[in-house]
Amino acid sequence: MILVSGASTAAGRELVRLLIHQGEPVPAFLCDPAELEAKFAGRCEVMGGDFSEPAGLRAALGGVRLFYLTSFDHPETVTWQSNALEAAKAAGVERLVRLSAPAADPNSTVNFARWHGVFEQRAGACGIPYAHLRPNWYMDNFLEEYLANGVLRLAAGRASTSLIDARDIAAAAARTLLEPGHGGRVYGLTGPAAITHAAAADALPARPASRSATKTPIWAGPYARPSSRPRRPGASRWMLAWASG
Amino acid sequence: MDVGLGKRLIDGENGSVSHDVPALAGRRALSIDDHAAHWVQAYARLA
Repeated sequence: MILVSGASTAAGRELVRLLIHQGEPVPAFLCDPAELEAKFAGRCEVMGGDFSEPAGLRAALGGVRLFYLTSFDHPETVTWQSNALEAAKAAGVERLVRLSAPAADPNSTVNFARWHGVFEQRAGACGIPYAHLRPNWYMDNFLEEYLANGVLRLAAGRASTSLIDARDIAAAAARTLLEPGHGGRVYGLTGPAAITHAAAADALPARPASRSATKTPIWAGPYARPSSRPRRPGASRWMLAWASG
Repeated sequence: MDVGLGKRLIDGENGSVSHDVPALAGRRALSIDDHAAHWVQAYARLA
C-alpha cells in the first residue's frame, strides 16, 4: 500500500492519478480531504490529518509499504516531517520518496532550502531507503496568476529558471516509489530548458481569449502584495520572507 | 530593479537543466508550450 501525502497539491493529485491507473492501492493523506474526495470518489481512500499530530500520522501509516512525503514549506517543516519519519519507522515503511527543494542545503541562507537540507540529512540517517526529489519551480505555480489574470509577476529580472510541469514531478515520484534501487538518491527535476520570464511569456502559444502576457519589470514590494487568487492568505509575502532568510 | 528574490532562487542549480526527468519518466521533460497547451485545452473543456 502506498500513502501519498500532500495529495491535493498539483504533483500530489497527478501522482495519485498515476498510481490508481497502475492499479496500486493509494490512501491519500492531506489537511483538507474534501477536494480530493470529490475528484477520486470511490477510487482512493482519503484521510484528513495534520503533520503536527503524530497519532494521526501513525494511524495513516499503518500497513503502508511505500510513502510519498511532502508538506508545504513552513518554519515547522522539519518538525512536521520528522513526525512523519518517526511514524514511518514505527510502521515499518519499506521505501520513502520525499519532495525536497532545489539547492537544499542545511547551511543555505534561503529559508526553505535550509529546511529541506536539514531534513534531507535527518532522513538519510533514518534507516528507511529513500529518494529525495528536488523539483525546480512548478510551471503550475508560475503560471497561476497568468492563467487567472494574464499577468506574470516576479521580481526576478532577466534571470532564467528551468520551470517544471507537475506531471513530470509525479512521473518521477511514481517511478522512484514503485521501483527498487533509488535508495539514497537525490534527483534534480527540471523542465527541458532554463528560460527567462519574458521568454516564458513569449512561449505561451495560445492564451485564453482576451488575455495577453504582460512583461513589466517590478520591484519586490508590489510582488509581496497578495495576488487575487492566493493559495494561502498572504502567500506571496510568506514566499519573500521564506526565501530571504 | 530589485532582483534579490529571483536571483537568490535562481543562482546555482536553478539556472541549470537536469536530465533526471527524462531518465525517470522515460520521455522528455514537458516544456512550457506543453504546459500552456494543456491548460488551454482545460479552459476549452470548461467553456
